[in-house]
Formats: sequence, structure tokens, C-alpha cells
Amino acid sequence: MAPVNFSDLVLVAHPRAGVRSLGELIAKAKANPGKLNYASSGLGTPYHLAGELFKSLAGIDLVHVPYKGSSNARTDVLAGHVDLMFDAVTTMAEQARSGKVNALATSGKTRSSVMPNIPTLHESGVSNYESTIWLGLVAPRATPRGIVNRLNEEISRMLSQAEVRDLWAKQGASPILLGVDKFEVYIKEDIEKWSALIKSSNIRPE
Amino acid sequence: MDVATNDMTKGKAEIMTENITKTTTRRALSIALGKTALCLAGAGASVKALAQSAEQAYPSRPVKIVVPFATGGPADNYARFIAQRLQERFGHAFVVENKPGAGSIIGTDQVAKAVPDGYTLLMMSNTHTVNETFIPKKPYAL
Repeated sequence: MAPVNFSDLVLVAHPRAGVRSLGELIAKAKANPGKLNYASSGLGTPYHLAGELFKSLAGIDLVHVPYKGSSNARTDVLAGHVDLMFDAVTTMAEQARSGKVNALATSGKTRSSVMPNIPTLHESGVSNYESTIWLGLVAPRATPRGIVNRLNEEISRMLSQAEVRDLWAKQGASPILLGVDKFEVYIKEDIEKWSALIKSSNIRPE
Repeated sequence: MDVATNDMTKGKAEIMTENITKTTTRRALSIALGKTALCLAGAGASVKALAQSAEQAYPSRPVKIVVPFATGGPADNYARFIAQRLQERFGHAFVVENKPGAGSIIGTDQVAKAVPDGYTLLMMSNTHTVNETFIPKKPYAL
């Protein structure tokens, strides 16, 4: 029906991991395969897939440590029990400012409005890396096209308002504006992207 | 979303539309036999008009947005934000209902099997696109 928005993630490292940039992390991981680990909110979650996409595109080996929910994962990263984590930008921005973690890179195509000083993975050498959390509204397949189009128009109008864009920017989210057909293509391409990664990385439910 | 189309899953509106179509076809047939082709076109147009007026009157009652994730998360927060704006715009309630569980599958299945009339919507995320491959056995198909 209509996409809503996407939010970037940020890859953070506990100071004890001894890496201050994405380049340092990749070099250390290549020299010590399987020694560094990263936390996620659980198997098959966007945080987990963000880590697996990074491993795949950077050609490195990190050990995945799944938790039940992101807050449990975050607690252990902040305590230094786990080296790395992909987490919501807004959640980690303050921790990075106060030096509890090092923010290495954000996960969007362009820099995050919340952490504009932190480079993206793409610009730090992991070409074409993009892994965000996106939201969208959908309706059951046989829903009348007229209704679907109208809701798409209303939502697109809402997301075009400067007031909405500014408010969401503070929360780390950017509106996605697409027509009904293009949103369907967007969903299909996203399914294909993750399908290829899940198969090539052999990720399975427990 | 594809939903099994047996009569058990059909909503009242859907069955009604079907009955109208059947009646129209029967009437159209008898009219055609009576060689009044003009009325045939008229009957078809009235069914179309009925569907169109239902779309134009939308929404005429509360619309439900199912969020297949827990309360307070981003999907829930943004669903509530949008629901409030749509409510102001349309003058009818847009109600958010949280149905978390099984990695979004429970709430998603509820929407997949709902009457496709625009009164039940789903807030989806890339959890859904991941699940297409990650959880191959699901009660619905995206």
C-alpha cells in the first residue's frame, strides 16, 4: 500500500575491542578470524542480518551472539562482554558521545541525521552496504485498488510535510515515498536481497 | 497476500458481491436472449458503480492497523503517529492493535485472512521480507 520510513543502524564497538574505525575493525578481524564477536536481538532479526551482511561484504568472520531482545544485547555490549553490535542510531548516539562505545559506521546509503560525523559502511570501504530497518503499511491482496491508492496518496502527502520529516529526523527515521507499484517492487527486491544472504551465509532458525 | 479462497474465509461483503454478480449474470443472459443489448451494458455498469461508491465512501467505519510487534517499539510508535493523522484526515477512527508473537507471524496471519475491504491494514517491516526465506513454513504468503 505505502512505505513509511527507514531508520539507520550504527555499528558500535566496546573500547575493549580495541578498534576505533571500521578499517581497524576489518583489519583486526582479518588477522584474527572468529575472535571478535557481535551481539544481536536474536536469530533472523534485522540486527542479526545487518551483521551477517557486513561479514559477507567485508569478507570477515565474526561470531554471532544472539540475545532475546535488543536491550539484553545492548547491556552486554555496554558492559564489554561482547565486542560489537549493530543497534539503533538514536539508542547508541548518547553512549557513543559519552565514550562508552566507539561508533564505527552507520548502515544507510547516506549518513545519519542523528550522527552526521560518523561515516557510512559504504563510504568506509564496504561498497554497496545498506541495511536499515524499514516500515510500511500493507493491505490484504484483494483490497480494492481505489482504496489502496487513496491511502497511498494520503500517507505520501503526510510524509512530504516538512514538520513530519524534521520530527522523524530527530528520531533517526527518514520517510520513504513510493507509489503502490514501486513499493511492491521494493518489497520483492528486499525479499531477494535477504534470501540471497540467508542462503549464502547458511543462516537457519534454531 | 494470498488467502485460501474457500467459503469459510469469505467475508459477508465478499459473498454479497458474489451474489450480486450471479444475479446480474443471470439477468444479463435473459436480457441478451431478448436481444436488448443496451440493458446488458447498464447492468454491468451498476455493479461497477456500486463498488466504486463503496470505495468513494471509504472509510465509513473504524479502520484497524495491526502491528505484529510489541507496544512501544518503532513499528508501534510510527503506526500510532500515522493512525492519528489518518484519523484527522478521514474523520473516522484508525485503531492500532498490537498482535506480537512468533516473529510477526501471528499478527500478519490475522491480516492476511481478514476481509480485503480496506478496514484491516498491517504495519510491516523488513522482518517480513527476511521471514520469507528465514521461516519458509508460514500460514500466509506475502
